[in-house]
Amino acid sequence: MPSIECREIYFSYRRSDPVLKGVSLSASPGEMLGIVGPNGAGKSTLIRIMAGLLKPQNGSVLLEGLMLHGLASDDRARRIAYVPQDYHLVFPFTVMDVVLSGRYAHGALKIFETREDRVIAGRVLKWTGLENLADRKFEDLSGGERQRAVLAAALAQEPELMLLDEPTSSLDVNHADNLMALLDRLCSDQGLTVIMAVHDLSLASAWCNRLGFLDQGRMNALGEPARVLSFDRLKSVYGDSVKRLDLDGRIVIAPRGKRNTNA
Amino acid sequence: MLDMDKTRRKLVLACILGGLWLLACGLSGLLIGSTSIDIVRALNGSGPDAQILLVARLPRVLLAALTGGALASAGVGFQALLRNPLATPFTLGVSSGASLGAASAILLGLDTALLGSAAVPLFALAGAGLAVAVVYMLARRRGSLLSTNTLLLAGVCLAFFFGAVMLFLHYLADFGNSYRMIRWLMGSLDITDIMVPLKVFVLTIIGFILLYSNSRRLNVMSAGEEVAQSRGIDVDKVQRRIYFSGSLLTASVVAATGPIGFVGLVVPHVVRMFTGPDHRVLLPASFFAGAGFLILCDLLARVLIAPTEIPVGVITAILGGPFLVWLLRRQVEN
Repeated sequence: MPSIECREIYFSYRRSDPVLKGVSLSASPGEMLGIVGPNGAGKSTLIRIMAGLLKPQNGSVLLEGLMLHGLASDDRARRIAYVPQDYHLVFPFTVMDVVLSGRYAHGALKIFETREDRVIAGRVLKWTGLENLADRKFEDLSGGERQRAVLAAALAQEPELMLLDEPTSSLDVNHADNLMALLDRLCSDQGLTVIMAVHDLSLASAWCNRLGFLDQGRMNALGEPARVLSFDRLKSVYGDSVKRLDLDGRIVIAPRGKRNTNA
Repeated sequence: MLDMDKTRRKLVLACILGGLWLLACGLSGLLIGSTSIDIVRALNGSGPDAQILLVARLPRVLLAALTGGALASAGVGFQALLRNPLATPFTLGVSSGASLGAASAILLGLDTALLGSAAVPLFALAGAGLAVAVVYMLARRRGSLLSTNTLLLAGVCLAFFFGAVMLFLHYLADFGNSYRMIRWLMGSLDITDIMVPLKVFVLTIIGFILLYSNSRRLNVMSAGEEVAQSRGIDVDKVQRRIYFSGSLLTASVVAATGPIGFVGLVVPHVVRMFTGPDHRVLLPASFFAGAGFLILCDLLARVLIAPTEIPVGVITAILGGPFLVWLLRRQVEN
């Protein structure tokens, strides 16, 4: 049974044109699925619908066969974790506080975290390489450390499905690659299902098992990265501004650049 | 494991230190005043010393403690709800509603000149309730979620509207009633009826328990509604609980004392510098700190230019404002 399945999702914000027009997809346990596409294609909206934060006007989302939007909020949070694009705290909480906030759904009526919560928080801090920064204020962290702390909080939810909205957008190449490697390890070792909206097509094709290509609210293609990022599709969506290179079996999507234009 | 103990340890420490602070302030409030009293005689007999201690000072100190504590903890709640460190218990229009209610009672002659009557606090409470209901209705989205931005806007607009109605009531009132309205707006703890703090206590404790039961959720919600929702919080329900419990805390004391500013803004900030932002520790610590702070402010109000009393709201603003600026500057410099 797929971990999550979207059937014919339609969604529009207020009275504007539909952002998603009949999107269907499914992902299996242990899979890393990347949602790619140009700006405004509906990637973040789709992620937020799958996270249960938005309700589609039409269509349904099934989580292991159960209707997602019928689940209680804490039940949903024990199955799905969501990593937003921006994470902003008003008050100076520590990294440990942020990570422990991920344990809320496992004891929603409790005022204090349990010993088990602490053990799990310690474990995910280790996975994300933040064990030495547990008492550091979140606002004092670098961009890469922050992203890992937010990921650690999501992992502390012990989810079966992890949804990420542009997780690498504020990271340099090395940190982005490390983050993807960590997610890949969690998929293969723990059977975690990962679905993420990604802008960086090269990164997405390097790490994701499959890609879903969203364009103008429709799922243009879904499958192997090499097939989804075809020359024709890239050209029709991005125009002549990108170039696909195949290097040692890897796909690299490069901007055409000044030199090429002049050539 | 060490960290679990840390939160609880911090809570216990905050309660012990807060309790000692409150005890010290409470004793100062009882024993110091424009007239000196003999504590042994006061506790033994029914002479003037006992009258001063038990009738003039005890109800007042108790009301000051409850008011300071309630306003400080409501301030913590509203700052977390609105995700705005500048929010106060009065930001969402509760005090303007209470003021309008009190002014209406005064204008209608429901408060006799000096004897006082229960009508003014009752009208104030009703006015506060009306403000809370109107702001809540305005802020509800068509779906279900409470929009905190609209809540803030609705509260501020309602405060302006009620302020304008207040001016109109002043215009209609004679000099005597207008003076009484202004004095009510300055905030006062000048009571001699021990029943007043007891009644306030019941409402305050309900509000505080309701707020504290959501303290862990307040921590999670400081990352925003969407993150809180994804962590498993029923954001709409929790926002409503915080809004109503904070409003209950505020209304219950403002009805009895009039609006006393700055406590709900300054105390949470100062306490947060010592306890950190964890609401499980911050809420009780702010209650104790606010309670002691207002007792001290009232003490100063009574003795600074005795026998004349300064309205306590003036003292809290004069002390609180510069103190907060000094602390924030020091924090920035460090």
